[in-house]
Amino acid sequence: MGEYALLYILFAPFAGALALIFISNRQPLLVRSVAASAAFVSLLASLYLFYAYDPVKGGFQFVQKCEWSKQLGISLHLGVDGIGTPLVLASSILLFAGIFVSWHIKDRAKEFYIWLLILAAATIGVFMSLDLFFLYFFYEMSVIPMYLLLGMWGSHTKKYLEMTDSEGLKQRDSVGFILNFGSNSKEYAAMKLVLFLSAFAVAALMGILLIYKYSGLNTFDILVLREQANLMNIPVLGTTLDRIIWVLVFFGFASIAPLWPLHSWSPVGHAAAPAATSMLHAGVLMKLGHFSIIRVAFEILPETTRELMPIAAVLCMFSIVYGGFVAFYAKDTKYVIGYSSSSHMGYVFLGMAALNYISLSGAVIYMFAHAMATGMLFAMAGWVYDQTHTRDIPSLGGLSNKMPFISVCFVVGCMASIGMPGTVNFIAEIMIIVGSWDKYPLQVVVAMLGIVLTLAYLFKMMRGLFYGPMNQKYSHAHDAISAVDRLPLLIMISISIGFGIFPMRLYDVVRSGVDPLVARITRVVPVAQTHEGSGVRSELIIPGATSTVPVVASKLLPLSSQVSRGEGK
Amino acid sequence: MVVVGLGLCAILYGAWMALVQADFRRLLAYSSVSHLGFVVVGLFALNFQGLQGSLLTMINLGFSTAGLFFIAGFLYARQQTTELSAFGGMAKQVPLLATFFLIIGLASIGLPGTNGFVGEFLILLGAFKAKWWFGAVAVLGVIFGAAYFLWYYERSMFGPLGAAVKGTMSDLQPREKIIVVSLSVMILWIGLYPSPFLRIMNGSIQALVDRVQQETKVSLQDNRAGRGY
Repeated sequence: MGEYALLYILFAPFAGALALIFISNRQPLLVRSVAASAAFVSLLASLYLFYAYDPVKGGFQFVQKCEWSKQLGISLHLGVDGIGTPLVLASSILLFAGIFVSWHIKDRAKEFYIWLLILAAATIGVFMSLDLFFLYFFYEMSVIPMYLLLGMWGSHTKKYLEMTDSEGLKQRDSVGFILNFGSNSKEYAAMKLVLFLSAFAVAALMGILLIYKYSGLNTFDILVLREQANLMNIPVLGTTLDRIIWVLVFFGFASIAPLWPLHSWSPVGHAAAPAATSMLHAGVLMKLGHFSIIRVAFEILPETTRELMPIAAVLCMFSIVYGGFVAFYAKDTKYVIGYSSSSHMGYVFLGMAALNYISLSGAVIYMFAHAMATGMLFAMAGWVYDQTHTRDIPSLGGLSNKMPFISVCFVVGCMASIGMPGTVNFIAEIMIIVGSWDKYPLQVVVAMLGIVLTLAYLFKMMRGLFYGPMNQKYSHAHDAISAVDRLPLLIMISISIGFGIFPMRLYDVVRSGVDPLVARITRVVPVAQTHEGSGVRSELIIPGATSTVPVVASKLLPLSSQVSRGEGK
Repeated sequence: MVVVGLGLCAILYGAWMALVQADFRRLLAYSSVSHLGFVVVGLFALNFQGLQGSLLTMINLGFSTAGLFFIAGFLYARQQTTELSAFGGMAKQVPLLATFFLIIGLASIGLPGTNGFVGEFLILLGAFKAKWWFGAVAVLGVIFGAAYFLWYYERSMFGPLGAAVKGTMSDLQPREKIIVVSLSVMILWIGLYPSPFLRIMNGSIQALVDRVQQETKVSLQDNRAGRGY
């Protein structure tokens, strides 16, 4: 059974969605329990995966391969390494939690769960694909359901609701309305999200097709391409082909991450989405961007990555600062969390740009940590919205009397998001900062500023929602009392704090994935210095790179340093 | 080259016009223009993947576009029009019709897992192999395709119940169910496991590609000056 773990994780949600089609909406309990049990199977299998993944052996494990089209070299090739494993775990935790968060959904619950399961399964599919075709397949599959989830079950912003007179409704049906940047309706958000993401997905697809065409290997298999594809130094359009591919792939996938100039769909989309969708979206869908960049650009074009990754280091500063300031001034709970997510994704880019063992592991752990923290915050913002039907911070306040449990969890969520010691976010953040210090001191200073900003806007929001005088309009609001409502928050909190106190297992798994990747990227001497063409390996850089790792690691995480020393390649 | 250019124009023009149509049948007509533009691009990419994708897309259109016209017929039978103003919030009233409308529509815009995705992917692959910018223009059609269908669907099926929608509107009849279920089965079959269909085509496509490329070689040899193909 063990070796098929990936198939269970991937196909349990699909099977759940298929089963739901045949269940009537008149049996809401049955609908929910089918969805929950599908998610539970997936969760159990991914816990097993995380437990059974062998970090000493490293590499891709639990590999499944099934021929899909021999002529085109496409096969359903699944496998996880140390980078994919924690992200698969995070996705299935958030799916399971998301099903419970949306437990009280009344309007067309069946369809909602079907799309939520498909969304999560597609996300999980990206994290385990080893085939470029299926990576794109699942990536695109995770974008389209967002339109329906936002358009059907989403919510408008306050500004939009003010204009729902008959004249406004007439406007709703014009093309101009969809493209109207001020309208902030959920339709606008959904359309913007789908157009934006599919436009950039298509850019990434062009990169993928260029890889396929010019590698000449007639295969989409990442493992084959990364060993054999030779895409360097082919002159095209005044530059080299590998750079064009890298830029297409990087910006194509960075749009969902979202990197600074490409972020504008994300807060609008988060604000319009229902709670469970925002959770999955901010929690794991955004990480598809980073993950796909690692899987495609880092694996197949390591040398170009080293050459061009400073682009990310520059843009991530804007992400961090801009997202932070907008979150500080935003008045809508979900806008605050949405911009905070896009600001925090800047840290991941910083960790990726520094390209060393500590910072890249930190980036991967941060993806996992952020999934938990932002999942909690969105779940609670959703709860507050369900109770008060508003997301407007100034009109809320003093809710801690009415919902003590939620307000306590909110404090924990804020702490996790800020990176309080004791949560897994702290470990990730400090690894990114320590790892990138040598290469990008300016960016690290900016990241520190970002942490202060995070503290400021989250505390401001917490105060605005839960403390101060209460608006009597919301006196009917009540706490999360039943186990069903409390379960998702408790799961995410316990995972976040659990890995914060015992990070060794997570660290080992991530390092086993990051080590060979960083070794591949940094070992090669830049083409310009050798005058001999690509692929010349210098042995001088490796000892320096690896010998510094255990020293830094032992300062940072005393308990895990033995393991990392043992594994250093 | 010229023909591919026309095909690319058809893709973009069809998709753009489809975006602004309020009548579902007009929208479908323009969307067919766009889809057939893809077929043309694939055919005149003159390579294996392009031809394969074009043939598969032609089969797909038989299921998805025909399916959407069936749906348009069902809608017409209920409202005597397919204008947008006659609909709104229909998913509450006719859930089955709305579900199959969605499945077939998503196949037409090429959601992964449906037949449309496989066909479009192969065509894009073929176009890319021929000239990279063929593919670069053709992908725009994919984006617009998602936009026009999803937008129309959202306005007609979701939201508040339209004023013109009668409370007595009936869901799918058994006869209509048979039609849409059989189409959906084919859509998912080709989408998830296209190998049987591709295998049937392979032989003749290979022969055709060999012939075309041989002729190209011959014609290249004829004018040695080689203005390039």
